[in-house]
Amino acid sequence: MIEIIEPGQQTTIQDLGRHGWSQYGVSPSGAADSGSSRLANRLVGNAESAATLEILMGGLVARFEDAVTFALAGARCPATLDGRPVDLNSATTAQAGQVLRLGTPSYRLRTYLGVRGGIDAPVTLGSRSTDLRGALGPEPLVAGQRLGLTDLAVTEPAGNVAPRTLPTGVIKLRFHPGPRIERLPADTVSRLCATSYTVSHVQNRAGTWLEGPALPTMEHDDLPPDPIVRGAIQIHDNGQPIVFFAEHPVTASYPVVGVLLAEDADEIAQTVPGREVRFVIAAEQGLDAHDEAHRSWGMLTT
Amino acid sequence: MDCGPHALLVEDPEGADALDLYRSLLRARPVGVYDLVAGAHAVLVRFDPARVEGKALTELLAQFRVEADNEPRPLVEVPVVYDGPDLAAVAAAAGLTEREVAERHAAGTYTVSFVGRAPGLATMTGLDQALHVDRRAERAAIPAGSITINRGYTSAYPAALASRAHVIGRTDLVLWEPAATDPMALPLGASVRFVEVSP
Repeated sequence: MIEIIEPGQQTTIQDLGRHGWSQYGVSPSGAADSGSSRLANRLVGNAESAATLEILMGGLVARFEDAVTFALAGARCPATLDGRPVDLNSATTAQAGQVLRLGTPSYRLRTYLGVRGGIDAPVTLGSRSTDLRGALGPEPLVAGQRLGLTDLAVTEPAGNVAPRTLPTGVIKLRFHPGPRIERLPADTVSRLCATSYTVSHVQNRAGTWLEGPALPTMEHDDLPPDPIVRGAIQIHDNGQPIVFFAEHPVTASYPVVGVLLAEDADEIAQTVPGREVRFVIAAEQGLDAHDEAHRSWGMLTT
Repeated sequence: MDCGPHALLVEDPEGADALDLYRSLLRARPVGVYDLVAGAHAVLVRFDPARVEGKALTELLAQFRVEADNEPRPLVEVPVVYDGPDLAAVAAAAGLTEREVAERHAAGTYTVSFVGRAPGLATMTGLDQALHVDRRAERAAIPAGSITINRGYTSAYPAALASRAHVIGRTDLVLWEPAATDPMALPLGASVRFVEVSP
């Protein structure tokens, strides 16, 4: 068991999300930075689909009641185990009773704690994820709560450090144009790419609201809601882009000008307010690991 | 229309209802397609690029013909108390009395055409033309159970949510129960009638 001594600003249980429930209006949810949650799991030898803790802006203090291997990934924050520093992106074994303390990340938003076996929680509609917007899954963690573990370890812990490069300067967000370009003025894609945007303070598990020169929009009386996907870039009628991720609504009314690559949707979920981002059209890509991981939940899998 | 590398947003070239397109695609199950989501006019088609190329699927879907199905649709009756805070505003906009708004709303048979925005929130078509009214100023939250009118749609709110729709009544029917076998009282494609009850 793991005892939560301090949950920090907001710590939730997340896995790869709820898939195949769109027809009930249920968001995919799951880890906002899916790549980091999957990495934390791989480092401790778990299946990538095991649940991790998503820790917003650090501050978590937790006691391992039993000896267990864990790993941190995502936002780098000062971390100690009984006072000794713990590095990001590597597996560490805690002894029974040791306490993990996380400080505040200086650069990104969400740190993932993967624990060998995976975090246990009741499964709702196929997932252990907390969906704050849709009010599904476990509540955010509170002080005093104790968490059990599942049995989703599949290999030995990796142990070694998994180096990851972090973007510096202006963050590039690669996207595929479409599907609703026709509902926007003809030069919208080139205007979107011509300037940088600032990440605003409006940010949650559904998406990030950006600020920059307003894009011209077209008058629409009644835009019928379309289904949208993770990474969708929607142009609000005030001309500002919104980028959606984990808890995106299933359908939305404003036109979608493009869809981010999966790893860049992870990156925008980590980007702190005030940072600059720039949209660039993606080159043709092959399979990506994110979709690979999700496909097996589809309702039409045969 | 491409919707990222592994999904397409599809509309029927002949203007068929998105729900009919959705049901036809669900029956046809094109190779490589693993998820379908209905919107108001368009259907999202998620596909596995290892099994079908986006270009090939786009061509296939351009040729796709919607076929009517004769499967019976479940009829769900929703008890409603017509005492919503916007009943008077809807009546004024429609040039009707509040009583007439309630009677006309309860006289119709509706179809759940799409689901979105929140789990269990059904949006229905089939609203009497006289009751089509534009959106109002947004409220931070309208109560769970609210029965609303917004342009050509009527909706039943399973939870307290922000809304720009007019609230004309309320139901005590449980609309969303995630732990249940059938979590949604008004699923996509269902036929719905509103039955007026006393407070």
